[in-house]
Amino acid sequence: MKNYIATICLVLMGLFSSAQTGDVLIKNGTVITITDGVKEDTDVLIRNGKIKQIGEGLSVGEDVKVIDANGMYVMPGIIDAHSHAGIDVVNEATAPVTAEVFVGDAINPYSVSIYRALAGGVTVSHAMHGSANAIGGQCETMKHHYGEEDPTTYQMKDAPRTIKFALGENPMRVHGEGNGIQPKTRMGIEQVFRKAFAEGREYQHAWKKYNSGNTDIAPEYNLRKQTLADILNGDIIIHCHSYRADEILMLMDVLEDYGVNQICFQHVNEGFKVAPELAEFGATASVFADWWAYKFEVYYSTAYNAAILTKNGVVTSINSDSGELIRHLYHEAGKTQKYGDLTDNEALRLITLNPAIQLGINDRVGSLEVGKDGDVAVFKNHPLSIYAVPQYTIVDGIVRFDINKDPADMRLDINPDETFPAFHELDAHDEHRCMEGVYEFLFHQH
Amino acid sequence: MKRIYFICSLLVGVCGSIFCQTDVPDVTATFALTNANVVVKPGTTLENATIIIKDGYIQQVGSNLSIPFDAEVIAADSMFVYAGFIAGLSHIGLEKEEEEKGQNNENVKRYDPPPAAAGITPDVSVGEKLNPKQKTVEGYRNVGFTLAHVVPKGRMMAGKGSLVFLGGDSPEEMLLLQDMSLYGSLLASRGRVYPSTTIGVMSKWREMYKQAELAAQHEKKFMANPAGTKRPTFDKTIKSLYDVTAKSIPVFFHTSKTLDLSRAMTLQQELGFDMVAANAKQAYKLADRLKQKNVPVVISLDLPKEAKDNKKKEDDKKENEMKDDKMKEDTETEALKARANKSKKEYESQAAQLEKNGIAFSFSVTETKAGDVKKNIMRMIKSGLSEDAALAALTTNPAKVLGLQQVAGTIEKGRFANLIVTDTTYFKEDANIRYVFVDGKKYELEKKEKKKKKEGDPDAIVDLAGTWSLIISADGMDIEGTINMEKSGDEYTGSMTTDMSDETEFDSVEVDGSNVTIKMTAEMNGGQAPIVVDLIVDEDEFEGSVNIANGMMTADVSGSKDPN
Amino acid sequence: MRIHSILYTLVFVFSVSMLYSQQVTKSEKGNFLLKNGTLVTVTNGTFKSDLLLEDGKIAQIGENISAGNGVTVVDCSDKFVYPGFIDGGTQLGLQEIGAVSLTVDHNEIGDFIPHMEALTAVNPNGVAIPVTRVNGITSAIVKPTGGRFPGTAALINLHGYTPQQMFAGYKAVVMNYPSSGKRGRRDRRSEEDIKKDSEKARKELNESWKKVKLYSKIDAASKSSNQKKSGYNPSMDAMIDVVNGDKQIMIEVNKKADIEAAIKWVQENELNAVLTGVKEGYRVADQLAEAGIPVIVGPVMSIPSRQSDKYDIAYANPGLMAKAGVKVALRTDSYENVRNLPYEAGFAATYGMGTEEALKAITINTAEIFGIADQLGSLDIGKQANVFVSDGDPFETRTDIYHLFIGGYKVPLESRHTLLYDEFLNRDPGVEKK
Repeated sequence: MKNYIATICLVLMGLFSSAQTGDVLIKNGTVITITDGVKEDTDVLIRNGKIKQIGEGLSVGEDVKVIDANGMYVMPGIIDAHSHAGIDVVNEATAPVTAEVFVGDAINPYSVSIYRALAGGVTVSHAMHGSANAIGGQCETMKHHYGEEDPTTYQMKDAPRTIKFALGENPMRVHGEGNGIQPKTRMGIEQVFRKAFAEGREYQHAWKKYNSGNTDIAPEYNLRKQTLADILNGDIIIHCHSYRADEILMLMDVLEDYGVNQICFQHVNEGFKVAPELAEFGATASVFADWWAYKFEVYYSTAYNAAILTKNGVVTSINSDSGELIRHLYHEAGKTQKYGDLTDNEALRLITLNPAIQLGINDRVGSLEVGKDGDVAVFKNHPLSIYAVPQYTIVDGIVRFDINKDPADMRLDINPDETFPAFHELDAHDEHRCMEGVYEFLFHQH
Repeated sequence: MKRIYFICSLLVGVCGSIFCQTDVPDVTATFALTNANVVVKPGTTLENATIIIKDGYIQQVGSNLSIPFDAEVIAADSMFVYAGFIAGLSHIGLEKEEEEKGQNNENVKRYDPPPAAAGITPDVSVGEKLNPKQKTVEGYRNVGFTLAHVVPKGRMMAGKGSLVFLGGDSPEEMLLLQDMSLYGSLLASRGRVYPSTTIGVMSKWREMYKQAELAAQHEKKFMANPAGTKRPTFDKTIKSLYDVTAKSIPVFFHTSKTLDLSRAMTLQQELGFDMVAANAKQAYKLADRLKQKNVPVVISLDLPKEAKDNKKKEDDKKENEMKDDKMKEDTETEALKARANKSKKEYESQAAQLEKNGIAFSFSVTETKAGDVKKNIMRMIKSGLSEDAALAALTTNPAKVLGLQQVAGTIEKGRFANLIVTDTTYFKEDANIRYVFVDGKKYELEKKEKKKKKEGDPDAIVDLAGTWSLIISADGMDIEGTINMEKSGDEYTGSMTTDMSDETEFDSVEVDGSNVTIKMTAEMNGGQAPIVVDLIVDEDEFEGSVNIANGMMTADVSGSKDPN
Repeated sequence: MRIHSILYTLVFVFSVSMLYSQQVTKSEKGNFLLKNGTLVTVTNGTFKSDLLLEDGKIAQIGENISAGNGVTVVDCSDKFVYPGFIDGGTQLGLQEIGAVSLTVDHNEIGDFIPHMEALTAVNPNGVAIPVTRVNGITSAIVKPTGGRFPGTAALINLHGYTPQQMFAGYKAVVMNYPSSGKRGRRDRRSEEDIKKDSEKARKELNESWKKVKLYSKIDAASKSSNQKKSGYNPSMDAMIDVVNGDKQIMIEVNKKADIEAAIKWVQENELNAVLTGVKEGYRVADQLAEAGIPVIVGPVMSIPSRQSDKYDIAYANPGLMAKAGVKVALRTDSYENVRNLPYEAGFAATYGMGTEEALKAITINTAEIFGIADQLGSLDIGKQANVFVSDGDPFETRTDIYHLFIGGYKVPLESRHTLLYDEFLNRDPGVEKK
């Protein structure tokens, strides 16, 4: 009997290979490669969705779309390592461990927020499970093919599997305070991980025994434990919602005990306190540019977090976790020049190559290099300037955002019974979906 | 006051007709329908033909047949006979179940609830829940359905469906085939227990499917060699999926949202079960995937509200008044309107698009009232569906998907005597169904006389003050009640009480000549529903209509003022 | 359980107050001569000049001003001098930690409580205040939130040890206009229900306004006839100046139809009003301009309010209104990240408003709306010495701010954020175990 998930993955890969790709030539821009400096008056040619050439005076046949980027800045498509845009479900908040669920099952291609992200130059986002559970669900690395209606076309082919973990207040509040079960404290959270990993290991052994013919009857199938076993196997990158230094150290200890080493700490507001430890472990960090003080565990924060982490050798990214921030990550990255004086390239790495590394897709995206995916953002004015305006956003060689061809109404799915889409008053929670689906639980307690 | 859902459940749920029962016995099971236009199957019509029915089967179809001596002869001259309609999916004959409480049961662990609490009941058999007296049996039969695929109401795995004749005095008499499908969905649990989301449900499908496959293998190994083999644990939920994993029955997947269809297709592709896309509303969007995987479709007969240009100007005016953010007739508004109308048309055109793509489909009536069936089919035809394809969707297609092509869906010798007889071709707007035969049993229908509405007179002067007795009639059932009106100055106030509802005070009474509009608000399942009564008053009598919850229910009403 | 949570709260409040007590370097009182800077005056153009701050005021502008006795000279060559920025709406100092309700002081219980004074609850040592100053923000509206009339807002300078020291001379009664929009993603009300709710709320508003007017009539009569009116009625007392038009009313309203209704309401009642939020102001910009009602917009960096809206409509909204002739000021509507005000203005500038107009929207326009343009909002002689010095365009994230003055004080640009940076950039010990 073969590993079931692996089979599923193979099946899926075989089925949905019809990714959308295109050709485009971007002429005469200031090309910010990230990995090979900034090149003035340079062309970028994308063929069949891949970068084919970067150089001066490139030409193509008339069949290829040409973008005149004269006076503009051409950079790799922006990557958001923490988003909840484009998915219908964020939290399966019923249990402290829900490793089996997968937000890729709930991709919503009709979500206008994907288009809005494109209009901010973002080509790839990491659609994450929420932070209600110590071990939440698996996440989806998503290509912003807005306009396609088949949700499977948004799944980034060959991107490694990732899973959401969460430390601190959120799982404590949902399960301990909300439901009267562990974890109610950071002590409890550690033990949730230790128990889950122990079960995963046991499960792994039981199936190994069965698959090698040592037992006749298959062990009971359990998708949750199977997923935990996959984590122990190194098949899944952990992305862990975290804030406080102590809990970050705790999880690194637990992972060390189980030989797991692929981890990106998300938010990680107190990462600056343990930057040397993070660097030593090889953990990466994905942070907000300046969010703090919205709860106690982020009260002791600093907007210099990204700079301190970067200068301590931790691969760091700046993420949005918000349908609003995702629209101007270039501006969020710019704040690291205010807080910590990062260079232009250091700042832009935070939203391109570094998040790509954290998602395990840096061989495909994150810089402008021949052979990489044709994911490009073209800006008027330097992307780190407040006056930057995204002009074109290209995903796999297809222009998905063009400021000159932007009809206001970009909805793909129209409610036939609603002529005027409802007006929504600003609601901070709307933008910050990490705990979405949890409020109902908390309100409906006994 | 204001328990309006009683009215609703009564309107839907009770066979109020006195014609339902009779002590007079049937005298024959043989019928001859003579001289009719027989639509044998979509596209094939025999003119002036005769159909002989005996003991529940079609004995003969053709011209110049000799009529059996014991036949009841129905002269069907100029009438049309069709194979009885088959509902591809329905909840016909099921009681309206009380909505499960949204609240968590104290004893249920959120993270590990019993399957039933999580909406996982594949072991439920709908056959056990049938009620022959349920109003919907007669209701859908009266619009031409003779056989229905009935599935239980529920969530992730609602239970097993059955094939049911829409006639008979007992569940046994109605049942043709039991547990021939599993009705499933991606609907999360109601009680906020695991799985509480689409992603939880998807995972649960994967896990349970795999568990059922392994459990079936285990059981087989045990049966083959019980000595020394680990004893299988008995799990009725998992066990009841064996038929699905063995692919001996299909899963009818509730996929009214296009995304749910896509997600269900993903599960189907991973797990490999036989799937039917059920209640689809925009299935053509996945035409390629459906075709590639050979997934049949049962489309929903539910449609969006009709585009405004098809409605009366009066409604238009009302709607505009209601929309405070009706922006001026600017380009943005125009564009938004156009998009909404285009979207309506897309929903209406689903059937036509599937026809164009060569994907066979039948109809689901789980979300459609009997009274809307014909209306909505006609809207689909207006949007490009051919009449033949519509008829196929009502007869031959469901017969095929449900494995009935040998016995139903066409008018041929040996088929079940499931027929409908209409006074002109079914697809004419004013066609009436005159007879329905189910399983050889005849049901005769009254010809609907269109009520001539009296014209209101804006110059008339009426006096409403006093007590009025009224009768609300809908779907053959009558509710009695009274209205009390008081007049102070030029304004009327008052209240209404009926058999089914407590006294409800009026929000407003508008009088325009003999046209009277009464508005009130009733509580309905925790929310509030507007009730609008439009009356034309003629001295001491009135008639008109009642509109509950913006058209969710409508009924005729008539009444008279009590003397003194 | 109850006892526990109280204990927890006490312990918590104690620990928070400990955190407050963490000291930053003291401000320096004095007179300052800013030499050779490029002055961005906002009202009189941009030019190279000296600027003298004396006794907490802008005393002189001109070339070659000589430093008198005890004047500290600040070299501003290659630097720019700006008037301090004013945020038109925040909860700065009224809230310490969003999720900890006992540190939240802007949402009192009650629907008609205009007498709740935001100024009373401002914590001069709120950790976010120094964090805010580093981007050149020197004043901010602190504003209650909640029901229909949640209280009275006040303008504060971001320096001082008591609320009264911080008070910058402007107060307004806050009103939340009845909304006919959805509250948010979780609002499941039907269109009709929303409509009904907002109609009911408007009706109630008009009913209470009748009482407010009657009360102020009685009050006037009582004064003119020297008869004492009976009873203690602080909420009504707080409204008297609003009814008279002596005090501004700050009306939060966002949806097009609601803005239209609010304009009408303001005109009918002849109020001195400023509209805040105003997300769909661009749809009714002409009406706003015609009515002459100013607006305070923000946050500019917001997602559109309707699914069908253009992606950048919130960025463009202030500019569209300004173009139509509406007086526009900006706000962050934040408490911890009020520091982003210049970036809010930057986005407005980029998406149609232009840098000059956007700069006004966080300086002089705001001051004019509040009727304190003689005090704040530009580099003009006689105005308060709220000034900062930067090495470039303060809307740009790469720009650093070097000096900041509020009143007579040179305020250090230190905050928890900078202190943590200093402490942890090169942590010692690093990973070595003890």
